[in-house]
Amino acid sequence: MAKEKEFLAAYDKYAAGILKHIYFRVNNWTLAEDLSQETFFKTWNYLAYGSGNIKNFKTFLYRVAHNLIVDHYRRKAKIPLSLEAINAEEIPDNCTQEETTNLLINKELVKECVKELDDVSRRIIIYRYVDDLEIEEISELTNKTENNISVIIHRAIKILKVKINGKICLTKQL
Amino acid sequence: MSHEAAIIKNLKNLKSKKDNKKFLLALRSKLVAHIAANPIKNERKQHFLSMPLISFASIQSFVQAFPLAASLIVIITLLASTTGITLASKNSLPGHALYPVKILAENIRSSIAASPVSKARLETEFANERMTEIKKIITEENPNTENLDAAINRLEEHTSKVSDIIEEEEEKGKDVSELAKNINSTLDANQENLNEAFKIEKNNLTGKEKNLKTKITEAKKNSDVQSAQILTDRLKEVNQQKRELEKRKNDSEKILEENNMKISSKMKPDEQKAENKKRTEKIIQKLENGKQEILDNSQNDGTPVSPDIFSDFDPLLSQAKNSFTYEDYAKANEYAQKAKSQLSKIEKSIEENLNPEPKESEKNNDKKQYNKSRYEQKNSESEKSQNQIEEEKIQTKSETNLSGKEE
Repeated sequence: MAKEKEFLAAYDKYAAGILKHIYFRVNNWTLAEDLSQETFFKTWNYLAYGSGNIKNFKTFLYRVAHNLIVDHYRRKAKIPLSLEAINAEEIPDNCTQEETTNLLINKELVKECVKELDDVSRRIIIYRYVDDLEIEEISELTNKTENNISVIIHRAIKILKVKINGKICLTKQL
Repeated sequence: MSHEAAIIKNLKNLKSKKDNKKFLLALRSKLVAHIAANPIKNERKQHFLSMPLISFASIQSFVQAFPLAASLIVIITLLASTTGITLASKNSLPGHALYPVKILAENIRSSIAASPVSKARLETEFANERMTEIKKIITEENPNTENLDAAINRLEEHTSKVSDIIEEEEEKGKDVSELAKNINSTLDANQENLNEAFKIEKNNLTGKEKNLKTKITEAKKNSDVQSAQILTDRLKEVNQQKRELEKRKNDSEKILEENNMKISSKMKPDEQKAENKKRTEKIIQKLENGKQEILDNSQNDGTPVSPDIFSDFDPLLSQAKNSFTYEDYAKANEYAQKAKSQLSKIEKSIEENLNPEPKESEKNNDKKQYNKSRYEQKNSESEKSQNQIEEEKIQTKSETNLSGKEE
């Protein structure tokens, strides 16, 4: 009875976040719904039939979700994970300087550029800024050191900056 | 603000445009049903079994003194008790006390499977078992939709495991065509069975609806307002049951169809073609039967339907048949699916004209009534709902009236 309540409480607290996280990883609502459903079903089955004890629901759920996302890509595309990043447009040579003002940086643009990141950086950026996870939690989920995580985040933001700059420059040229 | 900060701010504000509340609520209810059907194993302890007859300390000293004997006793006791309970659970259905034991036994068998192929066969067996359970549930007097949904969910889990294993074996470079063919034919056969069962139940309920409507008209003629009301409530119940049944039928059909397509794509090309031909033929036959049924029903009921309700359906059906003759089964299937959704629309609109779905506020009352009658059914000795009992009272009452009149 207690486990049941705990599980449902965890659902009420984290389900929306999990769904959102999966969506930003796979960019498809139907798929995100399917995978988040599977995440929770699997988690309950683990409680009912597996070794059964979950200390931290939040990290457990995110871990299950991540594994399902990986499985999905492995099954569907049979493309090695490193090639998963959507092909980015070439940034023209005359657009390398920082021309953008903050006013031009909007959500759509940021979302587009995040999609173009490599899988590892994308995953961690989403954990950090979309899911609001702590560096500690991200480190546990990804099995990387906290230092490594900070470095990845720092680099990713830099890359995003360059990409966003390039895109804005491109649209200006049109 | 630096650009980095602006980027981070936008990241944090990435809102998902979609309204997910509906999905999240629906998922929550599914989970509640799943939890009910799959409770945690520790909580299934019977009280009288958990009372210690011997003290823990004495057991410890016994085990230390006679370790071999102790372990033998443990093994034998476990075997005796679990075998008995496991056997007893074999025919249990979702919602019954021993059902979790049945599932646990299945999970154990699956986890100790010797090879992926044997695991695939096991999961197929379990999928078939789920279909049997679904058949049994829908033939009950007042089928419990939560249990039904639980069985259907598990069915989906088993079928996706099967297709996953087949895909994985194929990726390893193994020839899966034989395995795919065998699994496909057993699942197909059971699916046929299940569809038949759904059809029979639907006809059952339709019969009840007609019956009730006749009685309602009669009651109104005799100005028997009370009976008319009771019968109308009962009719609404039956309508609801029919709708719920239809939904589960569609759910299970969809799961099995999708799985069938995945697996048959792994069969040998000529066998695939034969499978496609068979499947398409079946669908086309179903469509023709469906149209005929609608026409027959309208004649029998005396509720005429205009012939141009089929104006979108007919050309799609003939295109499907055409492609079929030219052995383009993929195209034929495509047209057939479109025709199928047309047919469902037609059926639905006719259904709604005959048995209008109650308005929102009424709907909740009907749901309460439906749930209330189910609750009362669970508590009463017989399996009949309050409304059913009332209905039968009216039946006998009218019969005695008739006999009275005859005298």
